[in-house]
Amino acid sequence: MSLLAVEDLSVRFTTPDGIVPAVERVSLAIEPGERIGIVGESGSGKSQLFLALLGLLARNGRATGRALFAGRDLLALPNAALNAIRGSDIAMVFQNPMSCLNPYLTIGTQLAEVLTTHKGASEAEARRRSAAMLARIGIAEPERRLAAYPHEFSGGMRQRVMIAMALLCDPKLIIADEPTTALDVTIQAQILDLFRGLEATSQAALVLISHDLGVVAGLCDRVLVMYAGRIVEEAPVEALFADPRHPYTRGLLASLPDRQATPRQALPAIAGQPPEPLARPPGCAFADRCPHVMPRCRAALPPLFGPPGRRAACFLEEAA
Amino acid sequence: MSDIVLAAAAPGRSLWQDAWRRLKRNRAAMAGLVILAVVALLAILAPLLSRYAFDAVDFDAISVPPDAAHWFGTDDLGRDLFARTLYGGRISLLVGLVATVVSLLLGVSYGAVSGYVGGAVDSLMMRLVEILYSVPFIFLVILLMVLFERSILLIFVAIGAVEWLDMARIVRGQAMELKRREFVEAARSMGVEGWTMIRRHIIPNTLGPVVVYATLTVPRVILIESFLSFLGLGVQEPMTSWGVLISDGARLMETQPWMLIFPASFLAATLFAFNFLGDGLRDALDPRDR
Repeated sequence: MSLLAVEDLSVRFTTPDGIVPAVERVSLAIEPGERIGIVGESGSGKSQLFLALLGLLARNGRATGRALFAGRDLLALPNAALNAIRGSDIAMVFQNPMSCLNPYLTIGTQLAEVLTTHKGASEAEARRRSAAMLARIGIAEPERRLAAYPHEFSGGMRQRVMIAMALLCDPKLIIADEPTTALDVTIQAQILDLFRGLEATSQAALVLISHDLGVVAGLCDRVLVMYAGRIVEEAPVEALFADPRHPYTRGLLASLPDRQATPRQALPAIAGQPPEPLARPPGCAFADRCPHVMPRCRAALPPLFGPPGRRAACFLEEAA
Repeated sequence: MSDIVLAAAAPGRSLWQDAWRRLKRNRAAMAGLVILAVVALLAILAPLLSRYAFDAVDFDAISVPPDAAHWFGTDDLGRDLFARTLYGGRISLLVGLVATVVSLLLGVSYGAVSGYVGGAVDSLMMRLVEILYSVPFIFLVILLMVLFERSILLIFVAIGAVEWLDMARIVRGQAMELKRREFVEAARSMGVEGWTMIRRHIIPNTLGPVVVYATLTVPRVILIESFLSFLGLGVQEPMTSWGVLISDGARLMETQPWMLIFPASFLAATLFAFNFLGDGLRDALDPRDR
């Protein structure tokens, strides 16, 4: 049985301009211990998809569909039951470690809070386990660091603390939403190493949300590509890079800067813009930017074609 | 910038400790703090410092100007003004502190809940605040005086009941902004909610503005008490406060100016000190400076 099975999940936001569809009828399954990458540009709905699972959407957002986690539908759970899952069975690591820690509480207090909330641990026990977790995550002198405040930590260290916090309750699923985007490149590499090392010590499945194909390539087993609120391609990570099926994915890969390119050459890019969420066409949302566009692309929405685990939402794949 | 480097070198220094170091460098604020300490000590030690009781009438020394026996002179009933100024300071400072603490406890929790919960609860709680705002203050005090016995306790209650409204509004605004901050969202994603969230993540982060506002509330409360006493609604003879003393002194300022000068200078010094301290705290706690 899958750890998490999402069926037909849609997320809509009611705004003064109308109803904005952020995620449209997404289905996906995550197996225990699997590491899955979610790739897409800003506004593709990749973050909202997972915020919706945890009931963390903004007040004007509404999620429909089903999301079975350990046999329970997350979208139908009352808030109290969701609270017991958040931070305990499913933990989240956010993009900006600079603003995700409470500036007025020590690191130790904030780490211990997770354990006392979910595991009913005593303060002393919680501190002991927090220190052990900091050591595991590569922070020197953990006992002393517990007494420090967030502003005394660098960005990379804060992200380590956030990851430690996510790991504390031994979650079954960790959702990392752009965990390296706010960090500089060397720190990025350290944090990615940290995630890679987790495989040996943690049973948790990992969802890595990123717009950076390189980050996903180095860390994930399987990749889902999102565009304009939908999944457009799903593939094992090697297959995606070797043989991208959807024209959007091909465009993304072609846009990666090439080391061999001459310095003055303009960087390749996909022409055009994604459609406004309020005015998405009835057919394929990528049609206006697609080099292979056909008349039927604008008339009907292409479903995901192909065998499970290797699918692409493009009519070109239908014949194949 | 050197603050940041120093802070990084010594783990465990909280934002409050940083603020304290900045405050120590602010001369006006530190002067205010020293003045307040001196005035508070004088008030606390009043029975030890003065040779006369505040209500002892000496018919041989009526309206005596300041001299070696009566440092601040005596009033028109022959009571020692030094003793009365110190005892009056006890009442004024006590009213200021108690009413401020009441407004802190009530206003901070009320405002934090209102702002964090939001929606219909927030609207309801804020309408209640607005209704209380619309009750005329003097009317409220006179009503309380008529319904209950006249007592110093009533003044605490009346002033506290009015002062917490401002505090609630300030904290509500802070809480509304804080609940959209990422660390609150992160805490929510960790399963923290409700009162725990308010107590641990919202209230501590509102304390900067709250502390500043509280130091500015104390002098305002002292002034309100003086105003009530001036109108004859405050403390009762023979007990006194700075407000009562100033009101008496103002009556006789042409013939016995010392009766006005001494209590008025104590009040003025205290008000200045609180305002300087409040200003200093605001600078020290300003996050834009960090």
